[in-house]
Amino acid sequence: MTNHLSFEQLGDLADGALHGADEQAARGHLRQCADCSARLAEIGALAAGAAELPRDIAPPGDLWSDIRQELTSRRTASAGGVAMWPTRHLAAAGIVIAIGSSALTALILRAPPTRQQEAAQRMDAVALPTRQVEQPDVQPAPSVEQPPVPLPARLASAEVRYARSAGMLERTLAERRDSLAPSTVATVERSLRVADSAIAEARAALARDPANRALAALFASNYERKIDLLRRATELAPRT
Amino acid sequence: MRVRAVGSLCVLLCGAVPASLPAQSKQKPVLLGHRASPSVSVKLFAAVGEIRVIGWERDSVELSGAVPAGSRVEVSAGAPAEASKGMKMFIEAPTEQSGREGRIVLRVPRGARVWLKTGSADMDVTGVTGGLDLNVVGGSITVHGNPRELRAESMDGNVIINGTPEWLRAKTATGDITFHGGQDVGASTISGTIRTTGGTVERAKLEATTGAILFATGLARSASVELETHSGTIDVELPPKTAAELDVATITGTIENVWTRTRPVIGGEGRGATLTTAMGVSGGRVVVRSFKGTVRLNASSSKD
Repeated sequence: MTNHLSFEQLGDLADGALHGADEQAARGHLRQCADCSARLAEIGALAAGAAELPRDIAPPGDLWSDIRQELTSRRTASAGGVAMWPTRHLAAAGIVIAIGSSALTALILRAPPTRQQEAAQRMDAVALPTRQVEQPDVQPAPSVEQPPVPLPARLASAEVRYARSAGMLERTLAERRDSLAPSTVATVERSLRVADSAIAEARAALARDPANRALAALFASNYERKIDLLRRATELAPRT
Repeated sequence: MRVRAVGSLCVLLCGAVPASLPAQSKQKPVLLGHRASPSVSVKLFAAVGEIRVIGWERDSVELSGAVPAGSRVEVSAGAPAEASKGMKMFIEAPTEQSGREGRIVLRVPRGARVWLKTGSADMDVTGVTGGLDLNVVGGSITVHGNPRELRAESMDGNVIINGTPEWLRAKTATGDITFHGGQDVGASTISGTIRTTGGTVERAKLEATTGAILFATGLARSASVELETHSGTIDVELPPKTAAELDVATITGTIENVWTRTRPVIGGEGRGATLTTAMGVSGGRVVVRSFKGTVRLNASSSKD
């Protein structure tokens, strides 16, 4: 059979972008042409497979735990020696977190959500507790395990990753707390409270207005400043 | 005091305590030096109370000052009789308190790259045109001159840049950050205030959580500036006749614009506002974002 459908026509047909007489002609051809039918099936399978791919690329989940294990073993091995932090590993961890943060920012700020995501957003928005929506100023800081107010799916996914990064650094900082001067600990903790308060406030507003990209950017920035503060605090030299 | 010098380092230790030092400090002076290449990399970790770094015209590095008795001083400077391309120095005081009493001066070739880390020292750097990476927990950082690259981080001390670095990244938790423009600048703080006055910028990103931001610096042609705070105020003061486009948004705060005649658009339910306004053509672009802080746009009264 000659005059096969072009790749563009098949692609449009698979995407549902072909209408009217064009669509009828194409489907008429498909009924008679096994080659084009097979190509259409391949395109459809490819599109379905692509739709299932993750929308962001996160570092391997066990990378940070490996780094932490390495840090722990190094600390144990060097106990009693010069108490300098293994900065190369911290730098590596910092890079991992920085890459993750940037990817999350891109995820949060990515342009228009899909119809499925929009539907999820609408459903999540409906589920918001009224009291919390109306009183954003009193929202507690979100925790890794149980965020206080549900966010739309796209944002919630990003927040879980942010919170996970922050949680890891917080645990590392807690382990090293005794090696820091009390005044330094006080400064860090005070700043973390400020950061958490801002995150909670932006978060509550974002739950009410998930399509607000400026707000999403502020929310992401607040998280990134907190993570950066934690990173810097964990990199501090012994007792300062 | 124990001093271990590696390589061809020339170390001079003086037994006498200078008259200027406090009698109760029990300190001893240290003086050491080494030939160095013009772009030598110098890394110094020092538990002292005050550090001065001076860029000079000589092809050598010199560390002088006084450190607490019992301090450990270690230096690695490379092969003997050769101009060093990289040096590491380490000063550790016997106790945290005594470490705060030490005072040192580090002289380096102007084009050197200096990495400096300390706990609670006040740092003062003058005349270095190479790179600076300065990190302090509880002290302040002051830089005079125009380093090519400058990274300055302090937890609760202030960062003051009296010059125009080509590339600047300054961070604090609670300390203020003050500078005067630059080509590519970034400043971030949780609750400190960020101020840039005078000079010009090509690219700038200034961000704070609760801290205020004052941007009173000129814009280079096609400059790109981002200002962001969660709850602090943002003041933008542009020199007269500055060509620029401003894109301002605050979620629940207010916008006060006297730079142009454009009125902000109040958000739904009377909360928040947005404003897009411009003056001239082919100017810079300034994006301002605030959650609940007030944003004020003004024309600066002077050209500085």
